[in-house]
Amino acid sequence: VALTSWKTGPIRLTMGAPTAAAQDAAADKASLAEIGAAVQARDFDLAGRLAERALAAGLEHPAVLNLAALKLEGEERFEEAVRLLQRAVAVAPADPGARNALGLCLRRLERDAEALAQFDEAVRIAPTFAGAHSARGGCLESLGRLKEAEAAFQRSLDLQPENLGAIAGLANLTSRRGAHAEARALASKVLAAQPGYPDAVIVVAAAELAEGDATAAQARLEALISDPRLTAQQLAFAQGLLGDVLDAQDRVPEAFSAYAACNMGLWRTYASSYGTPPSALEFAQGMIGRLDAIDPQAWTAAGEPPPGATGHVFLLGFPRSGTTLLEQVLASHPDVEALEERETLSAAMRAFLATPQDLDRLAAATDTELRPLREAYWARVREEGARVEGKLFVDKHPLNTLKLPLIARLFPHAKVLFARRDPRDVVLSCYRRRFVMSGSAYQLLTLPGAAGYYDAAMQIAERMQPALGARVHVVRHEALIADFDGVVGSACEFLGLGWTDALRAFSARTQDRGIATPSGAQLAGGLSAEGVGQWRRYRQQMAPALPKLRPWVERFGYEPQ
Amino acid sequence: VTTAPAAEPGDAKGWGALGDRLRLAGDIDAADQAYARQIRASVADPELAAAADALCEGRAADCHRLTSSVLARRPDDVQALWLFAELAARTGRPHDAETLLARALGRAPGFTEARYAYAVVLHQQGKAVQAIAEADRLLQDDPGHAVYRQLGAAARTRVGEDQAAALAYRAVLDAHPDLALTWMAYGHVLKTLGRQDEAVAAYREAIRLRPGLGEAWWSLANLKTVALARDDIARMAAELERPELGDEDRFHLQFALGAAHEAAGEDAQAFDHYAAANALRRAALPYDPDETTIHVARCKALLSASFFAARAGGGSPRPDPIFIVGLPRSGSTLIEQILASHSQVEGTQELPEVEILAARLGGPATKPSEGVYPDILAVLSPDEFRALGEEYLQRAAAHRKTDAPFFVDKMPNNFAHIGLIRLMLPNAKIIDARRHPAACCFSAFKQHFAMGQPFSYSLADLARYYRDYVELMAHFDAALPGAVHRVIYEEMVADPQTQVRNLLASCGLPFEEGCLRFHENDRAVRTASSEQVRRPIFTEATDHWRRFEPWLGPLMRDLGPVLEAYPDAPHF
Repeated sequence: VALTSWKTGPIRLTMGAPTAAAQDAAADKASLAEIGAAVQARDFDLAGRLAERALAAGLEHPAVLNLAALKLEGEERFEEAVRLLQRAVAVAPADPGARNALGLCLRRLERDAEALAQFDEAVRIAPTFAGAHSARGGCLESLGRLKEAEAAFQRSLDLQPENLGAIAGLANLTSRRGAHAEARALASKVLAAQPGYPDAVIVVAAAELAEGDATAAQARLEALISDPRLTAQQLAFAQGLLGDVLDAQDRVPEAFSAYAACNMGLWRTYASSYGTPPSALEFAQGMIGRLDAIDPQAWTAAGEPPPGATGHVFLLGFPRSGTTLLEQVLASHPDVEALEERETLSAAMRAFLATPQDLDRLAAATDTELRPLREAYWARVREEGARVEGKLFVDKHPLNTLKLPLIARLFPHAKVLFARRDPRDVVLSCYRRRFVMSGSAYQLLTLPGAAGYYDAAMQIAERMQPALGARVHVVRHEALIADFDGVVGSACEFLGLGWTDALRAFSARTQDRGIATPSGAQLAGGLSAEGVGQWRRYRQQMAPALPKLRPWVERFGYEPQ
Repeated sequence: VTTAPAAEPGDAKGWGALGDRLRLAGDIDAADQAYARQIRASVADPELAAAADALCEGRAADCHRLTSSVLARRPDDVQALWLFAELAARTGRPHDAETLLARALGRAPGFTEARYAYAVVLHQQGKAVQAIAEADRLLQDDPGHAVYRQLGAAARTRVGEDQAAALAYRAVLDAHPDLALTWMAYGHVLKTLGRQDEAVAAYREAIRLRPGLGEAWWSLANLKTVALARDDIARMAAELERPELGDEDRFHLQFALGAAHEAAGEDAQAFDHYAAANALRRAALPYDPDETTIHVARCKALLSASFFAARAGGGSPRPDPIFIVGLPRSGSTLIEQILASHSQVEGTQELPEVEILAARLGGPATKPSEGVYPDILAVLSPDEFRALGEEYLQRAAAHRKTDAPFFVDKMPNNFAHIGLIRLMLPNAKIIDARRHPAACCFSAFKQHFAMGQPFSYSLADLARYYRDYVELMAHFDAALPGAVHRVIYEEMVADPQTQVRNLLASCGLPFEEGCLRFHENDRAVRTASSEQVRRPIFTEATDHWRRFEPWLGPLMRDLGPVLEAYPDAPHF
């Protein structure tokens, strides 16, 4: 298998007779035969060129479109490739190969939701198509649906035990939850079949780092980074992990360079999706401007209690501020049902927070307008698999802090649990960790950008505070680590939950829950004070973030220096 | 011209002509408004009409939405492209405007309005050579057009084609002798060319036509060799009394009055006027000192010795440029004049090219701190650095007139980009012009800069900026030992023989006597120091600031350790 298949994924072509649209059946048959021969010979360059020529001559055939698209993908012209593959799917809706190729190409454009629809269809049409199951697994992983991803990879391996994409995918998932030995065994299998397979190299390096062999991990990653065949994402992830490896050796300036290379690689890769103004930061700044003009009383309004659930709490804060830990702890309580970082508010966002100016309408919205959005929220919660009847429902999403105006208007009965951690540790950690990309994650790729976004989120929370009043409870991450029972106990009291020792055993559940955020592997090890005060090691590197953070450090009562 | 007659709503030509008249008269906002109405009158399509209405009414988001929707369906609709470009230009995205207009002109080369807009955005982005080409093309079809001619002249001054620019301004003035702003622009070119008497006459003519034209008064004062008379002081003071005088005129007059009183030895009055001038200027400038501090912190965090070591071997190996960096008013023009008097060195001017590259690398963020520069340097490949170096050289070539092996780029603010310079042009020389902090800051405080230097309109901002500058330079001294040659202004003035030799040696140039007689060089000079360097080195300037010490206590306190350690840097 050529290394280019790392970029394009498994190839499956169905060569057949020309379709009805063909004009000169004999000539078309001849060019299909020629193309088919090139494919047989695995000469995809030639096949691509021939396909392009046939396409220009008017031959609308799925395999021809697929091969021409493959050529475009090789040239990183993904948008155009998608258009060709969409035509292929239109010509032959039942061709799983075309759908699989379209899905893979959509993934290169980060259009994961659309890609998943194609993979779903491909495996529905061809349930034994191992490559499509594997690609579907990768897509689910990107979407943060780790449990389903694991099932998809497993299905692929049941069908085709040597499917490298699926083994590498499983290795990666295993690595993410911190089971490094197991992950390494899977990755080694991949590397035996295909030395240098980037995702597998990264898994092995992560295992070496976890086992304390930073030197080996560093050498492995440096070799990987110099491989010109890496995709931009793979390169960025390798550099980010190299940052962790250098950090473990306390080589701070070099680690910082590696993180910068990682983040800037991601910044460039995702520029077409997230680089167009307004940025998430500009959007948040726009919201602050609107909030300043709206009477805070507008956010206090009557509403209905949650249907079925005994209580409803939004777990907010900022990424890397301890929300995942808190959610894991609460989810260990038998009376709690929790959802982790699902977009439960999307319908409401579309209706009342598509632009910052929409806040004016939201402030004035009537209950008739809001009720359907509330219903859509609960429907979405059920769709995501939460069973809230008779439970306290915890909706955890740290970035929902930026949606507090919506939350306040839609759910006046809901409580808000706010995870707080030293802003400097939060921002440094945001900068060093690699998130599933989004408009918000794009904002975290520089330190001043991350600090600015933190500042904006806190400013929004501050402006909403008068309306929320006693419905808010703050949990300090550092306090929770120092005094688990005390801090968790008072959070439970605030939520009306009784104490149970199950709360202490949260980490046992973590392994099993498939946590999609960067916290997964960390939490599997239980409570750790390791992350407290990390920013001090990066004091000089953190300087660009401090002007924006200083007021919050002061206000939240953290030590100034 | 504040209340020009409006055209009929549907009269596109009329609105265009009104826009031109307003532009010549210098009322840019009103001209933009007239041009927006011109677009509105030109479009028939109802959706584009709605978009143009939004543009006229300043509803940028609506205009964006409506025009995008048209372009999604008709990507080659030239009027939509024009409209979208105007919106981009007005919302601070000149590069997008350029791309859109280039596309429109590719479809419709005879689309004059789009071509004019194209020339303007090119000029705004410092792409002078292309702007000149477009202006010339417009003039081919409409030879006497004053707006095109003036745009061409303005662009020519950017690339040192001052003779041609002077001729073009003269031609505009022959046809329209009542354009005060054009007289002033003509005066600026004459000053650059060293035709001082004619420059004074041109400024005086501008003042005769518009007595409240503060910039013309300031330009006279800024010659620094022509003392303004008692009578001038009285006239300026009288203009200041007029309540309808705009801030732009007002602060220029205040600066000019400060200079006039200082020349007359009336220091208290001089300082009052300087303070008033700066306060007015500062209030209108969105300068955020945190931005500079954050940039310095980012450079220090990222651009470590190991960072440079890991990237050795990239960039363009060409040694041509000599960068003079530092603060304005720190003797950089003097250093440039010395270097430019060397047979192997060509002087250019303060080139915006490095800043343009840096801004582009930073991405589309509204504030530099929200962008990705300098972080982005971490991910650029050796080839990308080489391409950047070559692009810089190519852009700089537009400002060059000779084939001397070396040339000087004396943009002082480039101290903020030493990392980029080093990575894209590893063999370029870097000279840091440094002058006593109090002398330098006070000198900058007295100065009104035609563009840039927004930190120079408050003593507190100046002190902080100077400290940030010294901190960053100290970082590069440590991370790149020997890469920067520092010239201490007071040492240069006290002992030019030694200092000039050291300077030339640091650039790898053999000593030449001519470098000591730099004041005989007749090259064009266009900075605040232009008339000063046409005289031999004079020493009274080094402690001139002490006359104003009674008013400089807060500045000196804010400078703190930087002042105490001078000429060394304190420990940061």
